Parts: sequence; structure tokens; C-alpha cells
Amino acid sequence: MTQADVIVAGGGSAGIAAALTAARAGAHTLLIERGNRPGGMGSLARVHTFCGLFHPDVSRPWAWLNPGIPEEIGRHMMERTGQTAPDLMGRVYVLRQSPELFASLAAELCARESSLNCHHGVAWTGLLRTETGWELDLEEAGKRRRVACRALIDTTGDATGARLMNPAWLQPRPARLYRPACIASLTSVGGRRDDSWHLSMAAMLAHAVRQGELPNAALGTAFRNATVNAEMFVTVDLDAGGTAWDPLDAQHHAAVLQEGRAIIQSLWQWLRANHPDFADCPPPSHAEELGVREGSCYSGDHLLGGDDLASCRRFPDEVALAGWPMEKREDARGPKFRYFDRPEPAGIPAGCLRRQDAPGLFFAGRCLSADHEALASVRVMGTCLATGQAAGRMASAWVAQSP
Amino acid sequence: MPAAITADAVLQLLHGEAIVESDEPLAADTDLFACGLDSLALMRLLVAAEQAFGRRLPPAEISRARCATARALADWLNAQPVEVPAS
Repeated sequence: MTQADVIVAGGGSAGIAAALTAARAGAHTLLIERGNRPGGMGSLARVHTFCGLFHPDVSRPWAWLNPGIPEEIGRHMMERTGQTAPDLMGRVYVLRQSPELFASLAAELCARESSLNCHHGVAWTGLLRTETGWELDLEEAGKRRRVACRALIDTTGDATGARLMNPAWLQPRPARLYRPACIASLTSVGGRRDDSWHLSMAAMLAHAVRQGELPNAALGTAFRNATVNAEMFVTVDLDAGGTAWDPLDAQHHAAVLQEGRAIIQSLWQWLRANHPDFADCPPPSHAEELGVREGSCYSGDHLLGGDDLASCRRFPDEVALAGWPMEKREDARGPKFRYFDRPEPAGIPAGCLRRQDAPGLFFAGRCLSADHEALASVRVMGTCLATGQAAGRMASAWVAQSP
Repeated sequence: MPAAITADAVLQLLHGEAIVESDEPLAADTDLFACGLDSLALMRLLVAAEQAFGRRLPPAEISRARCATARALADWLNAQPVEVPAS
């Protein structure tokens, strides 16, 4: 049986940060990812902005919020995309990121660590607790195997470990999860896409929907410039069947993804015919996966609440900082923000990443212990990099101190 | 002459459709962009305003100034001919 010090489940932002941190601390680390490449939402769903990387006070020059891996990845992304500063969008700093570059950067950084092994295309199907740690059942290219570790970090976004082993570790899910989004990239787009371009696009789309030329769902569309001049991302927020939306229901998930792609496809056809900047735009390149904003969360020793964040609460045992406003996507009609009361960060305590009755298990990213409202802030990639890093530190410290 | 669309009527629409959220009550001259009016919310506002008031807003005429406040949007709507419903 393969034996690792630390196994990280999930190769998204949190998982990459966790695995790099644990490996750099000297732990023999195995990263398993169900998709075909690393990056999670930031590559497979083409989420193209790093939110939560910067200090929330926009009256001051921008500054990194969490040192270590979040800053390292942010700096690499800026350098590789030729950006020298984040964008100021309303009341937040945001860094545009390239999903392709993020996947290759993550793979590159992981490959540099000799004590880190990464496996993609792995299904995690079972979890057992042993005297010395954890055993995981994995399926890889049709083969089943069992791997053991002393510390386990779950960054799956849907708390796979709890669902496999003990559903009592899960937080009750809200009746209505945050809405998913479908994203595609559009290339060979002309024009200078400044604020007035976006205004005029909004007016054109509203008009086309009123004329019946585009589906109503096109009103959930947002356009953002990519890191490359002639490229844009189009994001459609989907209602996804209201309370019926469940990202863990594979059939529903596939149907919603298809619905999103169809809306983007009709939008592209309409733009090509009606908007001069899209006359040469080839068919959209669709994301492999839906952008999922909420799955299942662990119930940890501390449950981070919306009021903790809004009041910029700090904790003696905090392991990461949150700075992104609570960006709530309750419906397909755009975000509703709850900003922190002051332009200062809030702390995320260690208790959000562990449970006393599950020693050696840590959770980070979108499945850490936060309530529905707080999740709207801490789910973003910049914060996931920070909580992943924290889980990597906690896991490697756990391995070093346990016999 | 049809009755002129007032800034108050536009404010009611903004509230009714929950287009923007604001801690302070919205007034006729409140800057809607400062209250979080983004392109998604703007699309919904335009569609809702056209439907509620029976006017078509020509996309080519849009500008930040024309939709920055309830008053400006009312003026822009009033400058459009009343739509004759298809029989």
C-alpha cells in the first residue's frame, strides 16, 4: 500500500496551496484530483479573476493580504500576463487571471517539489480511519487501490471525506445554494472595451431580449476582459432550477452545464451577427465544468459566520485572513454584496479547518467550516489559496509531532 | 400627451425589482452606479423600465449620464415615443 505523510484531496486553489505547503515543509505528500488537470474552478470552470488576494482597503495602494503561496501565485500570474497591478473594481481590488496559465503554473510549481506526487483523473471512493491516520480508496484509470496517510486535507469543495465517512461532520445545507455560473472564452474580439463599451453592450443585450432575439437568461450575462487584448470571458449566472439545484446530482449538473453552454452559444451567434467587435469571433471555447459557488461544508470546531466577517473579527488562533466582501449569488440576477463594516480584513481561525473528534483531518477551500453567508466571502480563489496554505501547515505540523 | 414618467416612478421600479441595494434611501438624484449598478443590474433595469413604461430605449443612445440617476432615466424614457401595443 502506498504510504504518504499527507494526502491532499482536490487540486483546486486550496489543494494546490495545501500540497505545496506540506511538501515544502518536508512531508511526503500526495495530491489527488478528479479532473484532468490542476486549478479547479480557476482552470476547469475558467473563473478568470483572483478575488480575495488583496487588502480590502482600496483607499490605500494595493497590498497582498496573505503572505506565502497566495502572494507567490499572484506574483507569478502578474508577471506571466504582463500586469503590474490589480484592477480596482468598485470597492475591491481584483487580479485578472488566465485559466490556461493557472493550470500550467500549478503543475509547474508542483513538479518542482520532489516530495510531492500529483495524480489526476482520480476518483475518491472510500475513507477509513486507522490507528495511525487514514486510508483512502481510490480509482484511477479503472484500477482500484488503497493509500494511507497520517494527515488528510480535504479541499474537494463538497466535503467528500465527510460524505464518505461521517455525514454528521457536515453542516446542514441551506435550502437554496448559491447559483452556479457557466463561463466561456471568446477570442478575436475587436474594439476598446472600456466602461462605455460595457454600457452599450448591456443596452444592446437588453434590447435583444426585449425583441425576443435572445433568451431571457441572457440577462444574466457578464463580459470581462481577459489578460490578453483580443480575448474576453462571458459568464452566465444560471437559475439552475431554484431550490432543486444540487451540484452533487450528476445528471442535474450535466443538464445545467448544457443549458449554460446553449445560452452562450446563442449569445455568440447573436453577437457575431449584430456587434462589429465580434464579426471575426470564432465559436466560444466552453469551460469543462460549471462554476460552482457552494457544495457542502464541514462543521468544524468553529463555524465562521457572516457577522464574524462583517465585524472584521480577529482570533488568537487565526490561520488566514479574509478580505473579500460577502458576494451573495442567491439568484441569477447578479450579486448582492455585504461589505465588511470597516475596510479591514477578518481572521479565519484554525477551528474552521479541523474538528476535535477527527484528529489528523483538515479541510480548506470551499468546504471549510463557514455558514452560508460567510462562504460568500471565503469561497473565492485568493482566500482558498490562503486557507489551503494554512491546512498544509497544520497537516505538516501534525505529522511532525505525531509518533 | 401621455402622462410624463416621474423620477419617483423610476425609484419605485428600482425598489420593486430590487435592482440596487443601498443603505441610504434612494433619491431622484442618487448616483445608481455608486450604489452598485453594474452591467447585469443595468440590463434588468432597462428591460423592466421598457416594460413598465411602454417605451423603447434606443441602445445606441445609452450613456452613463442617462442611467446614472432615477431622474436622468425618467428624462430619457420621456424622450421616447409611447409604444403602441401590437393588436
